[in-house]
Amino acid sequence: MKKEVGLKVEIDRVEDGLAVIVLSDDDKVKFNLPVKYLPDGARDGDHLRVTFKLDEKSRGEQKARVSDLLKELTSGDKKEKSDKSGA
Amino acid sequence: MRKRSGSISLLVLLVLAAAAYYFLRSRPETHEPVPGPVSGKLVIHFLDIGQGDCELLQLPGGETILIDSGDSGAPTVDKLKSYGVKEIDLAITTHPHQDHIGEMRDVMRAFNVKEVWDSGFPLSRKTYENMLQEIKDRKIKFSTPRRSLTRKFGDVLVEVLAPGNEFIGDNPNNASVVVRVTFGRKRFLFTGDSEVESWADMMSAGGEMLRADLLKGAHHGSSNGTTASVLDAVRPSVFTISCKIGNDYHHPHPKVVSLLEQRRQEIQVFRTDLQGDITAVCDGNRIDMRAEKQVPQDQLYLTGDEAAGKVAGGGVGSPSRRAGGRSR
Repeated sequence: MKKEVGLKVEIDRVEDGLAVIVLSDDDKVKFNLPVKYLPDGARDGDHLRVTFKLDEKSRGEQKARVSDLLKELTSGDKKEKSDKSGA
Repeated sequence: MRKRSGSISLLVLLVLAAAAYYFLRSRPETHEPVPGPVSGKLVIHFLDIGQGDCELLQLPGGETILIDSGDSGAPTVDKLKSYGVKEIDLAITTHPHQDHIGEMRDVMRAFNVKEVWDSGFPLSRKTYENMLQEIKDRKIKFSTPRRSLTRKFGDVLVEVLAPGNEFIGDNPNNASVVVRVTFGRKRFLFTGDSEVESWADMMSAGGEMLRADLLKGAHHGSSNGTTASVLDAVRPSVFTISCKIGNDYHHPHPKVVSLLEQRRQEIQVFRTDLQGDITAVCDGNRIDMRAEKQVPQDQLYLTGDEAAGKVAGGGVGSPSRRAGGRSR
């Protein structure tokens, strides 16, 4: 099971502050990225290495925060329900 | 005596011939249209291949010229087949950005391409390398034309206006191969993605050579491709824009749309994003423009974002903010 994938991409061009980034191995796969997210001085024809790595810790922390918020937001509903059943 | 006067006449003739030779040789290139009557029709298609450039020229003598191919994955090959293309006499790859050369390798695999003119700008892109390798493998005649090169295809003259002998900085757009095509009295200017620096360079090389009846708007209607001074130099009566509706780059740019709207009495606008394939048919005296789809005239002056409905007041099919009393 791959936990990490490395990709080689190339900057085809920069249009109005957006870098058009193309997969080196498949130029039909491309996406735009504001140049502010790229290394300083990045320009047409630059090659970049991108690594996708699963971050289980970050995912777990996010899930805990979302679960806590959902719990907090729905606790009123439960209280309301129990109030109604008690009446 | 007769012999002596004959010698003098011969001498005078030789002097005149030499003077005429030096006069003609020292004359600057005029870049004037090909004189004399022409026959047949020149048909130019500005293909709607999404965000990118692709122009197909079908010459009266039966030759085919392709300028750029659109991006990787564009329906270029199918479109070319639908227009009856069997082989391509000359492919011009204006510069190595993918939205201009992305499909060129597939074009070379689908059709017999006899010759390629390329900018020669050494952009470190795999797509460009793949295209060059295909040219090498297929032994296609290859050259990097520079300003003042000309080629005649029967009555059609193709002149290279840019790049000059040196590239301007490291921006591939400014290395674009710019060609002017002349047929009879009509001239067509194909500009690739030339930006203001390239335009300044061409103007300094001789602004008169930029005169054209139809201008393929540089760089998809970007503000760095068309300025008031560009329109003043070219003085076109037709302006075309090749781009995709809803593109992420705001093409055509509000500044360009505004410039064109100010000159709407002199310049007719055609856009592939709104009208699909655009065709110019020229008999040497006039240009007839045709579009695949009809749209209200006012919508041709919507910015890229307005046309895509990304900003209030826009969106094709919705009332234009510019509507009212401005139709041609």
